[in-house]
Amino acid sequence: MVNVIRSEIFKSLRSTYFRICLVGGSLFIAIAVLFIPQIANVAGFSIETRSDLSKIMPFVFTGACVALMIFFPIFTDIFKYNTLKNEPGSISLITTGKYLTALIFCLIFAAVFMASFTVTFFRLAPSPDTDKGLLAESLISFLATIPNYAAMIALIQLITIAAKNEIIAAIIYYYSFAQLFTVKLIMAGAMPEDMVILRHLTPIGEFYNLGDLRFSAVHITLSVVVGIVYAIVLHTMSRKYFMKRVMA
Amino acid sequence: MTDSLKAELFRCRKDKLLLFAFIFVTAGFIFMTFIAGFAEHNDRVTIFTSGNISQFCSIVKMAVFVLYFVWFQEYRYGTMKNLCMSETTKGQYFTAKFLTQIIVCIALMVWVLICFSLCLLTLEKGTGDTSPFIKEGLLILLRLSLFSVMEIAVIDLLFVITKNEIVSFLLFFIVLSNSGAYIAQLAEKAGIGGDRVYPLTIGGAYDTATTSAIPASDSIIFIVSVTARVLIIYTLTLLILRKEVNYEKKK
Repeated sequence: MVNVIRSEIFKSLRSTYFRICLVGGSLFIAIAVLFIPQIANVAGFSIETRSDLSKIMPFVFTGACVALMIFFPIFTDIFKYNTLKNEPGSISLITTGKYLTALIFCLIFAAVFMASFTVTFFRLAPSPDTDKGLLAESLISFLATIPNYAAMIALIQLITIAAKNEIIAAIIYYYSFAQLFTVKLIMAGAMPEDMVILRHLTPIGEFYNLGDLRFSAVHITLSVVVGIVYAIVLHTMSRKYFMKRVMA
Repeated sequence: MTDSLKAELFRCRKDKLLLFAFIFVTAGFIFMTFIAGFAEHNDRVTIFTSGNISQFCSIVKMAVFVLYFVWFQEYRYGTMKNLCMSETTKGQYFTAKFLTQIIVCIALMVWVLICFSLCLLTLEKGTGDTSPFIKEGLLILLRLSLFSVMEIAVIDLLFVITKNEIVSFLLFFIVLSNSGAYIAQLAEKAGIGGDRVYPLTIGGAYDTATTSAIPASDSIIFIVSVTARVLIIYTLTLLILRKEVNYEKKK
């Protein structure tokens, strides 16, 4: 397994596309987070104090899911270049190896985000009411999103294995992701109770909840559990589907 | 030129990826009509007045992106070298590709019209006269078709520059489609006038194309400006390609 991950990391870092995306993505995250108050201003939010950050964080957490699309090529390269035949000994490990590689790269983005967020936090004026412990709570909320991002990567892997084509997978992922909000908004008028369930039982809903930044320990635990369950289920589905296709 | 066009259309018929655009539109429209059923008012008039029409347009915008494959297959399959052996000129070859994309786009728009009409028929009639809305819907489709041609031209340019599918996708849908408001704000600060700059952006053009009941003068300005932009973008793409193919020939 370690060798598969090593080879995937080596392969990815050799790719110009991936290097540009990794550096560009990190820079994009750093700039976007460092200039959150200015960007929020354009979007119609006013971020002046530290406690105001909770207004924009749900959108930052959910918006970051789009950036995960740069991991599509990690999953589709075997189909694109027909290189599956080169690794007969490690076919069963390929899916997990690729998944863990994407997760490792995702953690680089997470580290950049946390560093930029801390700088932004201290750049903002302290809140008139207490903001004691807000930074720690914010970082804990962010750490709790990682299992949910892992679930999103597992979803990306499942879509790419099923679609075999980067753009088709990207359209399905982007559209279903964007439409989830529309569905929620349209359904909000008709059945708000169902919307509450949607918010609590999907990784995207959890991003929205965790963006509140002042969530209780119970809610954070629930979010982590939801993320882990989705990640395991979706990854197992990807593995099974991939093996079925290989065997076929 | 005609032979190149025929060859490209033949390739399109054989490629299954094209089918995805049509399936995506059909599935998207069915899904949107199903979702509209949950809204408090789900009649034919409300679908035009509630802003739901932009949701249908976003499906079309996404489906049009699939037409990238007509342009990208030379890079994907490494067949750009064949152009050096061919007697067809570069300009003719890529213009045939661009025309093929436009032809497929027109076919897609006809399919959109059929799907949307069927979706409307499944909704309740509602109160009020629907004929002005239907006329408005047709005008939106016309503007959207023109926007789609511009989308194709931009995508082709992005592919020629980046040579990567996902990067082009992210650049178009995340950066170019969403940066209109920020550019307009910057223009406002610079004293150029945000309202004048916004329609020139991709996001602004899309908004104008999908907004209902815009004045006729604005529609004409939109048509002229989009046509001009298509020509400029396509010329730019050809200039970049010319350098590229000359480089391949030298190699």
